[in-house]
Amino acid sequence: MDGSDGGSIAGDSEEFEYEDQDVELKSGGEEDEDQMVIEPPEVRKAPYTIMNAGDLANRQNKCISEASDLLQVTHEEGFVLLRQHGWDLLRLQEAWFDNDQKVRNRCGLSTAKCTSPAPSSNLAGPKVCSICMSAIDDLVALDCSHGFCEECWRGYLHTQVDDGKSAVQTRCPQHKCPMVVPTAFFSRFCDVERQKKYQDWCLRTYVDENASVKWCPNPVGCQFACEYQGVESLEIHCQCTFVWCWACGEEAHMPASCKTVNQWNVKNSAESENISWIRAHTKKCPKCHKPIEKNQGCNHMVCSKAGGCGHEFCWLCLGDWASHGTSTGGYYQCNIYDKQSKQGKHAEEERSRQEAKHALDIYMFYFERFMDHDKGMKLTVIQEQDIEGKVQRLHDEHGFAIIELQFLYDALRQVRACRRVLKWTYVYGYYLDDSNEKPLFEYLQKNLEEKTDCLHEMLEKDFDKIFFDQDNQLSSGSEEAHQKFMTFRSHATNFTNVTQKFLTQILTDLGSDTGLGQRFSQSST
Amino acid sequence: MASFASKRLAQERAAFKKDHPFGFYAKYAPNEDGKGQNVFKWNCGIPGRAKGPWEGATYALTMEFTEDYPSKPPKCKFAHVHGKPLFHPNVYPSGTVCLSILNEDEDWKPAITIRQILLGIQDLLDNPNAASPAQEEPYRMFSTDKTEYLRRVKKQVSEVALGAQNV
Repeated sequence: MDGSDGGSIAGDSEEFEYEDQDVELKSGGEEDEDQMVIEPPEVRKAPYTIMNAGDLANRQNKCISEASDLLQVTHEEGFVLLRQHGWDLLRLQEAWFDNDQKVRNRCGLSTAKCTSPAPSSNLAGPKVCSICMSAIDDLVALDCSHGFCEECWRGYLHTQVDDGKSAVQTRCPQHKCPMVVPTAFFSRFCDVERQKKYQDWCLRTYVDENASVKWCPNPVGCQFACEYQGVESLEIHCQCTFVWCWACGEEAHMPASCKTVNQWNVKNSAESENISWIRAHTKKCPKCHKPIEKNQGCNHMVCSKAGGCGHEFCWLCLGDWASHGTSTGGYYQCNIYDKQSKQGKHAEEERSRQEAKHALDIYMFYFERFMDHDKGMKLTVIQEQDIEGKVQRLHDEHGFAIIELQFLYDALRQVRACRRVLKWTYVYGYYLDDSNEKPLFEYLQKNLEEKTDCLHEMLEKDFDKIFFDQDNQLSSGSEEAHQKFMTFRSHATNFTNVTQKFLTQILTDLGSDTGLGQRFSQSST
Repeated sequence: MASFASKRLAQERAAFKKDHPFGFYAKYAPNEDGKGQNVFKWNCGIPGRAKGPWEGATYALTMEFTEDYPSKPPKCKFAHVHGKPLFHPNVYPSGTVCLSILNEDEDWKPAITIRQILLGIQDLLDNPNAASPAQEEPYRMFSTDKTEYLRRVKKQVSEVALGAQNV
């Protein structure tokens, strides 16, 4: 992956001062001479490699060539051996030089383990294919010399491919014969479509059976794979823009740990159905806070005496039904709530409700915010296309250089990175005890959330208001337009910078249980 | 024109007739309407191996083939004994035999002959595979109380010997 576009906006940013001078930055980066260099949101100097199908094929070939050189076996044998050893050349090498015959036997590259007798080829008379049992002169066999006619080979290999990707492990059709059928046989006997399938599976084995290569788990679908030598959590920035965790294969979830994320996902899948139903169909009794389902048409609710408190209230305003007399405008014209809440009548009730917060409330509190940030994060992907159009318009109408508009992308990507981290801070927060850490955590979270929102709004609303307001069109190329643009850019760049600092800070401070925060701050400052 | 599967089955039948292990039988089942034979359904018999717990009777088993044969294995099913399945850890309550060479996702190969299948099942009778249980009671007994297991097997062997298997 190329890692060169790191400092494209560094020069611009030097003219600007931070707006938030009171931002207290952790003094983590003293060695860092140039404090003003803005790193793009993604970590650039990655210890891993992102690969597309072509890269994978090259990598796989290189790996096979190395093995066949080293062990002095054919390319085909190298492929089989590596596959059986999880594409780990060291492991294969060790086993091979310990006892190569044993490895050959185990991997189906020798006839030694074959308990099926070789056909009696020295007998006079025609040879017989053991699948169709017809006498045929030209039999095709692997090294084990179990011969089959071409038609039966074709049928056998077609069935294997049609049965799925285990076709790459196809063995000789003879009973108990472990010989692996080489790729060349598939090319020889399969039609083009099946050959393509087979070759695709061969390539996929490089990822599927390899502990150091994984497919990008983007739920939208992604063709890229990632190679990394390690097992710990690490944020992988895929070229499809999805960021995921190497260890657990979920979306990148700092500052929460893999374990916490797993716990959260289990909880979500167990509760989500119940919760969405409860949310859609019930309100809480204002007195005892039990969820109540409205199962009749009128708004006069009676909290079930059996399970609840028997309280009578209005479905619309949740006020006491006793106050819904004709004096207030009739039972079904419910305009009482405003008056009451203004008079503070609900305040006490509200407070006691807050105090009596049910576990479900707490969960939903975190869950809703988790989902909000998730939604916001996904929106930025759509907005990025949107911005592309706007960049073109600004370029056409006002003559700004495309390169000068790069800051918009950087800002948006910064928002995306922040939203993702914010999303997971709510998971982190949900499982955080009311310890000393909580106030600090909430403070950091608040800061990041606030700044992220500002930046997001700036990109969504301010930007449009300045440049794409129908009523107040800027004349193209004017001094005013230029001025406004410079101001906006200065603002946006500053905010991008500031949110980046907050992001780094929250991850550094909270990341101690995962070790992720440490790594993040090292690679991004 | 006869299908690939039926040709192979005809070859199998001929080969079995010419030479088969002692005590075994394998032949086409009669059609349900009583007219002619069904090439895709075979009635077979597997004798219990000498000196093994199943010695003393021959166990009736049906083999059902599909047009995909020999790409796909036949389904092998023991006949019930007094309405009960064969008392064996790897025989499903339906009578179907659970054996790796009879599973297309495991060790089935198109070159496996009917003779090899029958010998494989005979071997399975004496050597149950505790790793893939198919029937609860015999499995539990086989793994906890061998004496009781053998007693139950013996009981079934004598029932079969007296003609209790309804083919």
